[in-house]
Amino acid sequence: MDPIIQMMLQGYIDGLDTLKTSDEAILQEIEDLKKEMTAFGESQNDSSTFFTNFQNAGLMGKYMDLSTKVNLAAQAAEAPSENKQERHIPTPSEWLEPFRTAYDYIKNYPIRERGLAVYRKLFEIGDKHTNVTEFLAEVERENLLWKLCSEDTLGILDITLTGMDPLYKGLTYSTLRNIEAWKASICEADAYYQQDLFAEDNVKYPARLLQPEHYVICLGAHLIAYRGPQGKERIMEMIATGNCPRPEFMSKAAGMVITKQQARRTLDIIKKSLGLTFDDIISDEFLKWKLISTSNVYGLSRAYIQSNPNILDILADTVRNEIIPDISLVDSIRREASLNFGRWRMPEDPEYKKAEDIARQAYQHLPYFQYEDQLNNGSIHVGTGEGFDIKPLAGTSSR
Amino acid sequence: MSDTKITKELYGLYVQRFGNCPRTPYQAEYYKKWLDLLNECSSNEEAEEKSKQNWLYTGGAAAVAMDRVFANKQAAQELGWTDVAEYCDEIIGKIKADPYYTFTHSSLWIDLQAKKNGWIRTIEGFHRLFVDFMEYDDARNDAQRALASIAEDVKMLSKPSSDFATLAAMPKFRALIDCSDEYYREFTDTVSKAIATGNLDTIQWSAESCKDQIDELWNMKDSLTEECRHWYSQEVKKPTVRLTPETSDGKYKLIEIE
Repeated sequence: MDPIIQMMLQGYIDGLDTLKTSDEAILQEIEDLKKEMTAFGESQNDSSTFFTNFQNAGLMGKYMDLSTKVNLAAQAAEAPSENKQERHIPTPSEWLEPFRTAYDYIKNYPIRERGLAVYRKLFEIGDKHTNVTEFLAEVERENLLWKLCSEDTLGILDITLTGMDPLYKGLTYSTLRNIEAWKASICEADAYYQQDLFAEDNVKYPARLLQPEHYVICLGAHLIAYRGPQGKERIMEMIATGNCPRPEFMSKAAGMVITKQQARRTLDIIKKSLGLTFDDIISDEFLKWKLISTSNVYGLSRAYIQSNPNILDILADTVRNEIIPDISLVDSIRREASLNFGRWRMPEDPEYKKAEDIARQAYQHLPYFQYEDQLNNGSIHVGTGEGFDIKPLAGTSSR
Repeated sequence: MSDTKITKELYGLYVQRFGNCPRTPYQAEYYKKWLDLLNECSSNEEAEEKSKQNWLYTGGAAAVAMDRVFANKQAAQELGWTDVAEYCDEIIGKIKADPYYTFTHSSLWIDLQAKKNGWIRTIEGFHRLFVDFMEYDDARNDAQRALASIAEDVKMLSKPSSDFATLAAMPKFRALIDCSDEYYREFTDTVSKAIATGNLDTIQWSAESCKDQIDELWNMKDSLTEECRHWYSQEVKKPTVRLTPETSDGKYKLIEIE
């Protein structure tokens, strides 16, 4: 048997071995299932599909059902006999005990105030009553048991949203729909219904939103290969320094020709498939940034690091004056000198760390990052800004 | 307030809440029956004793489970997931026959999810096939990679059919893809061909047609030295951090990293 499969299988077999029962029939079922699982494990040779196949073969179901059966039998054996004198009706305080345990855990995260407020309301009602039925009636009038679940969930979803780039609809869509589903629900079963109803949309819409992004990323890759440090800039560097080994020079020049052809093809595809022109892309505040290679440096795409701040202007200029009109390589090099875009370089590690610190300073007030700090059990750590200055660039918004 | 009166009030509130929700008919019915029973009896204890003679005594958890399955069924019906809806009916029938069914067959939730996953994975798979096509179509230079991805992703199709062409002709799947009809046809024709023949055309990218331009650049490079030196003398731009706006109608803010 594949050793990885054997390891995964052993977990289930060990689980079956821990089931305690004296029922001979159940013991036989356990042995039979162990044999069936082992035979199944021997029939598998791909550990990456093992779990799915294990489920599809019904073995996971049998494992769970058998575990439940043994546990229920054990509970039934331990349960006290039905006797009126032994029955104890809990006080509201006793009834609330499990909720106090949950509250004690959640209160470690004060940012989850929305859920915590419902717990406090529940305890306040509990303190007013000595009769549990009267207490439950008031809880029901306030619909508090449902709110315990829904308010805390909605609170967490709202917090999560603040960690995301609000322009990145492919990312925010599922959370926004989830919020919509929870808001529309009035009880647990309703929440299942609402979430199931969105199950297809949760795949469909982000996928649709990702399509233009995908094309623009492809276009950007061709443009950067054409214009960037491995393309035109390398040729200009070779000419400027007088260090022009012919094979490399010719190879880079051929690369420029080919990447220009590929960029032209991608522009045609974008027009044909989505009806978008390059001007449409460059005027879309989110989409245009997909032209360049950027890395997320903070939160759920809350901040990115990129090279030259003028990079979009450079690429737009390249498309409008070199790719679409298809000018010669010589003209392409000659015109570059009259522009003031300058050279660019790719982001490097030290800048990455500084970018993260800048983002931390900018976003520390947002609930997502406060929650992250609370989850890490640390105080909110703020970048000192030491060693670099924060200067918004002209033409970009400032908060 | 007497215990019976407050119990009736509590159960009346349950009837009201579950009755108002179209997803919870079984809990509404359960608490309505309890309310009827309480109205027939002079005390909670008497009602409890009588409840042992029918399903009420053990039916609470079963009602919750049936509503959960019923909610799944309603969503499945709206989404056209017929086999899921039928499976939900089957489970509800089993819980009605045995109130402890959900406890002794807890794997039913996994089975239910697996049935739903068949539909969701098909949608994912269909979209992945479009991504395979997009990646291939961009430069059409790596047919082997595209063929391998298509062969893998087509395995995800199962509901309501595992046949790509059948799904591609359905409005529900056409709506998944945001592109012109012309480009959608290219997509479906290309993927169908890949599935049927295991082959895809490629473009042989070449700079041969521009050889004159390349030679011209090599020959003229010395005359471009001054221009290139001017460009090369410019300061290398510093990387920037791009911060996101607060709202979806805002703009990104660029900050130069010193």
